[in-house]
Parts: sequence; structure tokens; C-alpha cells
Amino acid sequence: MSLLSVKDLHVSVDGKQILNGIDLEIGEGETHAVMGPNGSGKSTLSYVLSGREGYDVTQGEILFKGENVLDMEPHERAGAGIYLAFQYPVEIPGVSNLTFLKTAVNAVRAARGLDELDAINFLKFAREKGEILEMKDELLKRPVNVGFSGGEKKRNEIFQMAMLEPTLAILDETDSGLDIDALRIVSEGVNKLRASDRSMIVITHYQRLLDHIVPDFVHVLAKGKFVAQGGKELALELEKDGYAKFGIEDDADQAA
Amino acid sequence: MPQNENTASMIESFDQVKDTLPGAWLLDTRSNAIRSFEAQGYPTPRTEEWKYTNLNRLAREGFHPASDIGSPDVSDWSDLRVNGASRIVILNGRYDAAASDIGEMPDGISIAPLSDAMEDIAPDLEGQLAQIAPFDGGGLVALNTAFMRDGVILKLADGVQIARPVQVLHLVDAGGVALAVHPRTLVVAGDNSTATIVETFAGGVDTAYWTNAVTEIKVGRNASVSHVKRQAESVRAYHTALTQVRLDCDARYRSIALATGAALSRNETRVAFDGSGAEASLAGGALLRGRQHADNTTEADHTVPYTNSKQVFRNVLDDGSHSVFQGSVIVRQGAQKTDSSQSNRNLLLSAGAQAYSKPELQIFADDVKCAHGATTGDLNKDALFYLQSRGITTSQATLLLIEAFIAEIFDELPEGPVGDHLADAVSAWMEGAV
Repeated sequence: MSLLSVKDLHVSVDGKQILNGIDLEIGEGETHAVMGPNGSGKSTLSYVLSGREGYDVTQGEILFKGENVLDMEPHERAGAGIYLAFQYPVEIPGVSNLTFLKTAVNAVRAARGLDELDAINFLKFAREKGEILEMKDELLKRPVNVGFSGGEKKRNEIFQMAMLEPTLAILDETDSGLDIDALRIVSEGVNKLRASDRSMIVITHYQRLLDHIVPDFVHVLAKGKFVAQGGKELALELEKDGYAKFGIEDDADQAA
Repeated sequence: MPQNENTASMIESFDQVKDTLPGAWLLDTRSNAIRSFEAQGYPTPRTEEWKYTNLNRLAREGFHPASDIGSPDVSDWSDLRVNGASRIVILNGRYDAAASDIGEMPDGISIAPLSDAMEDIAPDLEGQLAQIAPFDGGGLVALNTAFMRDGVILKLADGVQIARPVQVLHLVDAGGVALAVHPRTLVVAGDNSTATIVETFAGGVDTAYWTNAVTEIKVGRNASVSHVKRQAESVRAYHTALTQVRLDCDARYRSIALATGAALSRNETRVAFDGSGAEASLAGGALLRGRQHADNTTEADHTVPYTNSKQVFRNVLDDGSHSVFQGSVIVRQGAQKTDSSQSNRNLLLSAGAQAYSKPELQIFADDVKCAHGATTGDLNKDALFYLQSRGITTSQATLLLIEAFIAEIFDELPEGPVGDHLADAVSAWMEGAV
């Protein structure tokens, strides 16, 4: 049985159809890349999996560990093991990163039948995971994402992933806005978190990230449907020939 | 604006109780004050300053002046005590010696219930009581001056520091009697002195009552007064309060006033700068639900050069509650180099909640900094989803965001028991929040 099973998924936002029949099977420990130009529906896929409001599933189903995800609140999905690394992490002034993380970690631990971590054990755990992402202690004390550089925000996303120990991590354009050093730290962090019991969906516009996080499968998304699927070599083809080969116009290619 | 029978019933009450009020030497002042009330009447929305807060229902309630109401058990309110503070309890408008615990005070500090002070140290009070906040300043301060019976007087000699905070705990539980209490607090801080005063207001829910408080604070040269107010009146109560502050050169006044109680409340804080180098920080707000209405009205009156004022007010409004913020900054001619800022933000948790925000800047000097800003909005949906996506329930996420929203009013709050006192007010409100 797949860890995640998406069948014939149709999603609309404000009455506009964005996803037009997505099928996706993800097994345990697999890493899947979803590539596509802007506006193809990549972020919609990540939001509908994590339960954001305003995304109407008009057809199809999503099963996670055999359970109907669409019946679950966002926090229940997180507790069940789904994690979304945001393309644009949200700044929350007034809430320290540590308070936020402690609340989150203990919430998912409770959902998974584990005891809460006390202050000391939590700090130990945070330090340990922080090392993977080269997180400075100072970033832990600051308000969530406030005053973080673009790279620090993305690192914070992967740091949270390390803390929340998901079974399915969705990385939404984690590479966007990163310089080459930040990309290295983030992707090395992600690679350290790859495990036989952890699957990943890596959403990206560019092949660059996939040099660092090498996927098992690549799916090409256009106009809300997968138009090509294959192994990691598909990403290289895209890099060489561009999206045009799949009959897709990509305005970002011209911009780049 | 001489009005109606509502005013008349108060005047009648005054005639009945005036001879029982402490301090015979004050009788002329009291009589003048009640005549002033007769002339001014209750404030009405016809006055700009009272546009958003209507006392019509209060005026019709027919409240009784404080008289002997027995001795209800005050132990129910023991969690309102500030640990380690010098405590004066004013129960149903009268000093409760048994519940109070003033403790040892170092030399140079005089602290006493006002009723005692009015009888015993009258000469000392004359020229100070009812001077900082004169009775012609409004109908409510006039009423308080006529009826004031008890409260606290705190005086610090030059150079004296009080390590312990002084808490005045105002409690009302008058059974079936619709009681009006008019507590008065006078703080006179000598040059280079330091004090922290905490005013806490609470009451029983059995019946409506009215607290009409006046607090006068004079801060001497280079002296520092911190003032914390926790208004946790019963949800059936009316609460009107005026804090009038005068600051001498280089004096510092910091206040944080948080309201979670009362059906209707008006918290007015007015600061007058008499000396250069003085600074005032006024922070506060309200956490409201149901049909509660809370009004914070402030005034920073800069009359001399080189003075600073900062105002930070946050309101969190659930259900059909209303908040009002009227923040006035006056920079008079000659008050050059004034640095003032004002910020009011309101968080609406429900479609039925409303926030009125009215900044009012009157600037007559040209070399000054005056910043102000006001916003009103819902919970940030992006932030809410971000927290939920990390496993945090909607209610927990809401609480985190509310705490973050109001955090700024506590920026200058001292750590320790005084800080805990206001943190408790927030958590008590939160427990009923979701």
C-alpha cells in the first residue's frame, strides 16, 4: 500500500479550476519531484495536501496511510505525519521561534501518543536538530521568521521538519530565493533527513535543487495535470530542453 | 449641561450622606463639587470626548452611595493579591483593615487609608487632595470629589525608593444593593523617589454596581512611578476612572492598564508635563467578549520642551464587544523637541465586534516628533494556517496569536509578581476564550 495515494484530484480556488485530475502514488521512503512552470498548480497541490482553507476538492480523493486526508483538519494532518515546508514562510511577530516550536512539537507528539517534552529535553532536542541546519541559537529566540533572511527562513522550514519528524514532507519551492551556499546547507539538511520511513515531495521550478536532492521519481505538472512522469533523468531532460518539449510555455524561462 | 432627574437623585443622595463622609474640613470642597456636578451633569455623547461611550444607562440605574454593607468574605479574591506587595483593601468603598497588609515601611514613606488621612493629617492633605484632578474637570470627577470616602494616600519623601509594590485592591460585593463607590488615590512622589503602585478592581456578580475612581499622581524631579492597573470588575459592573498625572523635570511615569471586566468601562489617563526631560509611557488595552464595552481615553499635554510620551494600546474583541481608543497629544507652543508616539491596534475575533479609534494631535510647536498609527483587523489567516500546519490546534494557534498581538503593551512591565498579576489577567481571559 502506498503511503500517499492521490486519485483523480480536481481542485478549484474561487471557482477557478486549478488541478484537473492528478494521480500520484508515493511509497514509503520515496522522494518524488514535482516540476512545472509558474501557474501549473504546484503550490495548490501542496496546500490541498496540507489542508489550507479555500481549496475546494471538486473530485477525487487523497488517502494518507489509508485514511481520508480530506476529512482531517490541518493540525490533524500534521499530527498524522504530513509536513509542508512553505514557499513563503509566514512571519509571526510576538511569538518566539522556541515557544512556537515547543507548542508544535508537543502537539504532534501528543497526536502520536508520545509524552510531552519538558523544557530541558525540548532544548536538547532543538539543539541537536539545529546542528543539522547550522541554526544559530539566536534564531531560536527571535520571533518566528521575523528579521530572518530568505535563506534563514528556508532553513527554519527544514529545521521545523527535523523537529516534527514527518513521514511525508512536502517541500514547496524550498530552493527559491536561495544563494548557492544557502542551497547547499538546506539541501544537505534535507538529505540528512531522508530515511526509509520518510517520503518527500520536492516541488520545484528548477532542476538545480535536484542536483542536491536526487529524486526517485519526477513528475511534470502543466495546467493542473501531470504531462510526463519518469525517473531522475526526466529532470535532466527538462533542464536541457526546457518545458517547451512538453508543449508548455514557460514565462519564467524567458525571464531567467 | 444641567439635566434630568438622574442628576437630581445623586444630589439628593449627597445631602443625605454628606455629614457621614470623613474630613469635616473637606465639606466646602464637597459641596462645591456637587454643585459643579449639578452644572456639568453626567457626560453625554453630545460632548466630543464622550462620543463613543454612552453613560445613559449608568445614569438611570440609581446607584446608592457607599454605606454600611456588612463584611462579605474577601478570600474569594485572594488570587488577585500581588505576592510580596504592601496591600490595602478597599471593600465596598471602605478600608478593610483585616484584609489589608501594609507591612513595615522604611522612613520617608507614608501610606494610609484615605479615610484615616482625611481625619488625622488634614493639614498635610490640604492643598494636595483634589488639586491634581480638580472637580471642575468633568461630571464624574466632581461626583467622586463630593462622595470620596476612602482609598489610599501614598507619599514618598525625596530620595526614597520603595522596593515593594503597593497594591490597592478595590472590591465590591454589596449583595442586592446597587452600590456606587468613589475611591480616591493620591500618590505624591518626592524628588528622586521610586515607587510601583498596582490598582486592582474586582467585584461580585450578583448585582450591578458602579466604581467611579479618581487617582491623582504627582511625580517629583527625576522621580519614577510605575502604575499598573488591572480592571477585572464583574461583568455587570460599570467602571469609570480618571488618572491624572503631573510630571516635574526628568520625572518618569509608566502605566499599563488592562481591562477584562465590567459591562461598560472608561479608563481615562491624563498626563501633564510641568518640567523638561519628563517622560510618560502609557500602555494598555482591553480583552473583551459578550456585550462588553471598554474605553481608553488618554491625553498627553506637552507644555514644556524636551518631553516624551509614548502610547501603546491594544484591544482584543470577541462576540459583540466594543472598544474605544481616544488618544490625544497636545504639543503647546514652546514645547519644542517633544517626542511623542501613539499606536492603537485592534484585533476583531468576531464579525459583531467593533473598535473605534480616534487619534487626536494638536501641535502648536514646529520642532517636534509626533508619530501615530491605528489599525483594526482580523486574525492573520496566513499565520493561523502556518501554526495549524505545524500540528497546533485552531484554538491554541488563536491563543498564541492573541498573546503575540497584545505582547507590546507589556514591553515595559517589570518581571516578578507585578508582571504575573497582569499575565494572570490575560490567562484568565484566555481560559474563557476558546
